[in-house]
Amino acid sequence: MSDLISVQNVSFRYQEEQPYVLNNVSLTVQKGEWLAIVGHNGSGKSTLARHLNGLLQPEKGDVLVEGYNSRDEESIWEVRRRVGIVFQNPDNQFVGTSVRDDVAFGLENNGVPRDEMIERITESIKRVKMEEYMDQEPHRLSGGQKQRVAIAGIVALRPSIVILDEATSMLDPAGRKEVLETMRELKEEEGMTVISITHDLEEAAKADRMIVMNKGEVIDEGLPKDIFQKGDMLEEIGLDLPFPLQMHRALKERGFPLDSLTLSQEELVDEIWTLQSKI
Amino acid sequence: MDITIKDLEHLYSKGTPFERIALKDVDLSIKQGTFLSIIGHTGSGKSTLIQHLNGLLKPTSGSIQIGDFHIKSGEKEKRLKDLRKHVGVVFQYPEHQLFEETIEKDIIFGPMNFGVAEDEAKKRAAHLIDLVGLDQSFLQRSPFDLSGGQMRRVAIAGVLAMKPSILILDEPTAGLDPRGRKEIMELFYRLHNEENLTTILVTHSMEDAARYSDQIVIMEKGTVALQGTPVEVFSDADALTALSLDVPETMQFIHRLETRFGTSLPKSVFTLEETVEAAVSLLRKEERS
Repeated sequence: MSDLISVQNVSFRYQEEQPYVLNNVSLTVQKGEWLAIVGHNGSGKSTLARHLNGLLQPEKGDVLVEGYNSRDEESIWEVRRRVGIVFQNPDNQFVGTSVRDDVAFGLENNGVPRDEMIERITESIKRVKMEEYMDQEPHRLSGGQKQRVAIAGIVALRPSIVILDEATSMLDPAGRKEVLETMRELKEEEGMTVISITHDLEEAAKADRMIVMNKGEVIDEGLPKDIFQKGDMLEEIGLDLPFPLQMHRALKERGFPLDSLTLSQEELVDEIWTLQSKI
Repeated sequence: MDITIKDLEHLYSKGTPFERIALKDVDLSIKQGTFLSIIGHTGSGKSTLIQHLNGLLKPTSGSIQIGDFHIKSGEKEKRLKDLRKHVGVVFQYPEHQLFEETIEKDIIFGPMNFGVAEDEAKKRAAHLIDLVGLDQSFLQRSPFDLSGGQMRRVAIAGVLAMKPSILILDEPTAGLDPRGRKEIMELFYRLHNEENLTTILVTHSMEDAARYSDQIVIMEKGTVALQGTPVEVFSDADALTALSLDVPETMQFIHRLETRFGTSLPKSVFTLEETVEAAVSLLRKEERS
């Protein structure tokens, strides 16, 4: 796998004389992976996301997207074309008066010819299963539907990377599921690279790789199953362990020798069953 | 103040081609001091229902009684301002409603509007800023320099400053991280008990509903689909599945243990600690026998 994005020693603060929001952050994003970046509110996750498509530029260090440096005025548009962001609030990113117009907005901005535009709009709206709502007004859509339209708007521009910046945190459980399923399909079927910025560890558990941020620094990186071994660290920085892990840990603390960590309730119940038959 | 809702119906855009039933046949009785959670999908009528409880919306038909206030269709309750003194609402994303130059001014705006003297309102602000987990130095700062989570706390302090006896919370923790969510919910629960409030929580979190509520109401398509204590509501797994809602994880786990071990366990298990105890009791039982 090759580095699609490379973040090199990036530091950033919003104003001089204020503390750094990002502090010497380095990381890479591989082509085709689902990368979860976790951390509490204010840990620097969203600031990092805004660096990945050049909305913000580092005070120190560099961000390279497929070799294009976000500092470089000549290449900033190359960066933005490759990286799309779905933001947290579904109501703040709807610009069109209908689903169709909303998806058209980005294409028009990028000067895509009309015939191709029409084709891409239809295709990307189908991709997120919103074709029945083509001419609907945004206020008649649910939060999950709005976020899917936002995804269609990005997909239409054919980026290589989609960043979900807490894109499901304002949705109800059904909406959350809709959005994540849509993204998973895009990853499987189109080979899209996904960076999901979240404080939902259950969602992060399904990622290929995880990065943990705290106070503007990357404090850990690895496979979800390895990161989840460090329950104390995750709780310390204000994240919530998935329920089966909490149970597993609490039972171990009570002196029951459970071995493998599991994220599913069934497996944990099986383990408890095995343990009691051994006793 | 007890709340009694009878045959409540609400139509949006009544008499136009866009007419839509938002609520119908809603009957609820909420005793003073109850912690009630309202659960339901987006569009099930939860928010419409709570907007009736402080007179923001009026019933198309049916009635609502709150203490000795009556809200009926076609009749004007002249003491709406009085009613709103008693019913505090923390709306979704309350931080969007901050507007004053300083946090102190923002918190005292509500009570002063209801005739509380400035000195007294300031005293309340000083007390509340601690209570919501910020410190005195915040009072003179601008609310707009705060993080989203801190702004939410200031907005909540502003509602509490009116000393409501009924507190309505519309998804108060949406968008917060896990620690923030827990702190805010624990704060509301403590206030509920200390001040003997009636608390009505609109939530998508089955875990919060199970853990804090005396009563749970499940809304579906504008009407009450299910109601009862957490044990009653969450024991009916089939009904919940039919409404595509989840059983809290603690109860799912207990149910799985029961099936696997062919035994029965206590039903009212809503916290991690209680679930651990139940699992330990199974393991210990085997040790003894």
